[in-house]
Amino acid sequence: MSETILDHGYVPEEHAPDPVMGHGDPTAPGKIGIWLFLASEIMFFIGILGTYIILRSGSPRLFAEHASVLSKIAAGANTLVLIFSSLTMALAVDASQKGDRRKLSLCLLVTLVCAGGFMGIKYYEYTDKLGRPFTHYEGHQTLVATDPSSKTAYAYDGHVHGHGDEVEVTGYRMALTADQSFDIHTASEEGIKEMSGAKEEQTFPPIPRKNIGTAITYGPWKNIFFACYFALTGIHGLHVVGGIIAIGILWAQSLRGKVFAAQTEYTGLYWHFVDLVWIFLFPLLYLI
Amino acid sequence: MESTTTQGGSGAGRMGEPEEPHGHSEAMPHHKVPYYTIFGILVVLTVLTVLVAMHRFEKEWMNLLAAMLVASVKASCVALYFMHLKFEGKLIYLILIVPLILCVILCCALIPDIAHALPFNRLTPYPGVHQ
Repeated sequence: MSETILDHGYVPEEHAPDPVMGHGDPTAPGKIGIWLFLASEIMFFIGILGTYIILRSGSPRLFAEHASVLSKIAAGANTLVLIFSSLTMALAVDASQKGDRRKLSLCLLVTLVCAGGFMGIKYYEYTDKLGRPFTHYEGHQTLVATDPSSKTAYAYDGHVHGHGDEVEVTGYRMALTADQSFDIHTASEEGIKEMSGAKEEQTFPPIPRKNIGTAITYGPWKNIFFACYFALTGIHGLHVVGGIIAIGILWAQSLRGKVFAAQTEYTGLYWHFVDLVWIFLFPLLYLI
Repeated sequence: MESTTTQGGSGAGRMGEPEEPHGHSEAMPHHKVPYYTIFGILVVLTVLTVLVAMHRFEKEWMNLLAAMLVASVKASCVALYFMHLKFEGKLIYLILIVPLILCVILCCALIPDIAHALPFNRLTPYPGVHQ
């Protein structure tokens, strides 16, 4: 008896009738707790989403043009990965309630792998925009540089690869004239593509690093769209990491032969919520 | 070695599915939730929303409406079936309705700002390039 209390912290009603909870509503206190937490999470996310809505309504064109830089394929794959992990989490909760330890372990492991896969795809997306660590001028960038042969100034937008003292850009470029003002923060790949008249992206002759005037990666410093993008997906990513920790603990316990039915259910509720947030972030950031 | 100890799940249908507050004395049967069907629906809707986004309607608001409608249906599927909301008692709904009402209030409070920004949107020059 005492062991049961210690292990899961919840006393079944028939053993310890609770004077407060005993009046008809049989919902477990832990479940009320996790739902209250999720309620506060809803308000937390609607706060930053409201910021995004306001900023987007202020400059819709900038948002639409820069959103088209984001990879729909990667985000779509991430959506499917997260939905699948939600399915396996639901199956894990089901297995834990039936006391099926083997199925619980397996489902939790698959959920963990999916969560890791989600973060992996996120890492790929992030490094492409922020610039890869330990390399200069790698990843997606906008830059202004003088072409060494023709001595003309060009605005480039595309993927940059460094080769010693030179960089190679695969993307689009437009010639700049002296009377043009060019804003590196608001310039988008789509805009430069349209202005240059190019149909497909191409690889340009290598540019010496000393010829580069300014360059900016697609990090949160690029413009207000990417600030929103990194804030929203970053906070969601932190929630995924939190889920990985909780699911990891449950998985480790299941390997030790312990099935925590209630805790698995609460973790499942949290995990489905993380999935639910992504279901809204995906169209808001990538599709519209 | 195969000692599986189940904790919390022993109280006859008490943990996963709370009994309805009115009159059910016997333990409720385990809810048969069609997890795989729901998963299939979610996958189909994800593919659908990507296809709609690739196609793009002429009117911007229609793209927004389509994307948000599909997202809401998906969110409802996750909440009702994966999160077992369909089988929950009144208390959970009470907890959930409060932040949802607050969300609606917040979005309504944003309307004046959005409406204020609208006339300027048409004037936005080509981002990045000013001739």
